[in-house]
Amino acid sequence: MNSLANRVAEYQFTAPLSEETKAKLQKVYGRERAATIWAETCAIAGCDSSNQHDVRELVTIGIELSKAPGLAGVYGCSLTVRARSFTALASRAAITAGIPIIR
Amino acid sequence: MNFHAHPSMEPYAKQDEARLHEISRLGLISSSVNPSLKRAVDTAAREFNVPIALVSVVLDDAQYFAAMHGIEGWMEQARGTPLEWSFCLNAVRSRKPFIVSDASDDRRVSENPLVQIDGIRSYAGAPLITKNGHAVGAFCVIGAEARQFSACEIARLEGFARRVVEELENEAK
Repeated sequence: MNSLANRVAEYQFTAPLSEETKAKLQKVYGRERAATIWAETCAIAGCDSSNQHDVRELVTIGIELSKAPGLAGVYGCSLTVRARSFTALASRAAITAGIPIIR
Repeated sequence: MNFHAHPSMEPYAKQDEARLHEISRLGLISSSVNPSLKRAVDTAAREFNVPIALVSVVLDDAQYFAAMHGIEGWMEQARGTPLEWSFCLNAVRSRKPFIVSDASDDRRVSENPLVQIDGIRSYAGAPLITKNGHAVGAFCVIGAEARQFSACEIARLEGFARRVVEELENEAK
């Protein structure tokens, strides 16, 4: 798979990972409650909570998580911005490089 | 500053949780745009004669644009940027205005991709400080050309920041 898969070279920016947000939730809410928050958010977003998520799924999950109260909402907003940044930059890089964007 | 490393707010962790709760309390991450904040950035862009003005909320690893004027392209799509590229973070950490007259010649920011690739050249940001004393983001103006900011202009920018916080605190009551 090409290098755009997880890194936008020009910006040296790497795609966010679900584990990063899950770890933040765990630190604040504890393991069980964090797992519940994540599972419920993924269910609303239409994603399987037990899977790895690609960046487009992380945008959807982030948007739903950002609607949660408190720190969970803040972490969701951060995730959304980072995931959207990555997809927008990767899309722009693909256009520049002449690589077809698979929708 | 390393503009390519995932930022760590670890040194600020305990204070930062309280600061992030404040962001939530004030509704700063709402997806809808507060019309007063939008008017403020539009006015600031006109008064400072700059292409971009923002109310930027500094989160844990991103900055989110609660209101924006003149933002296009990927930053508009993301409605923010990763935190490692944030100029506003400097205003939040110092709790003072952060001024960059010529980004290409300023070692603090010259290697930032927003400078090298996206063309930011000048920046002036005043921190948004809430009634509880937390710096939650910045009110800033951004230019594509080098320029000086006078003491009077910086004071005006701080005025914009104060009025934004007043509006947010009133809405949160």
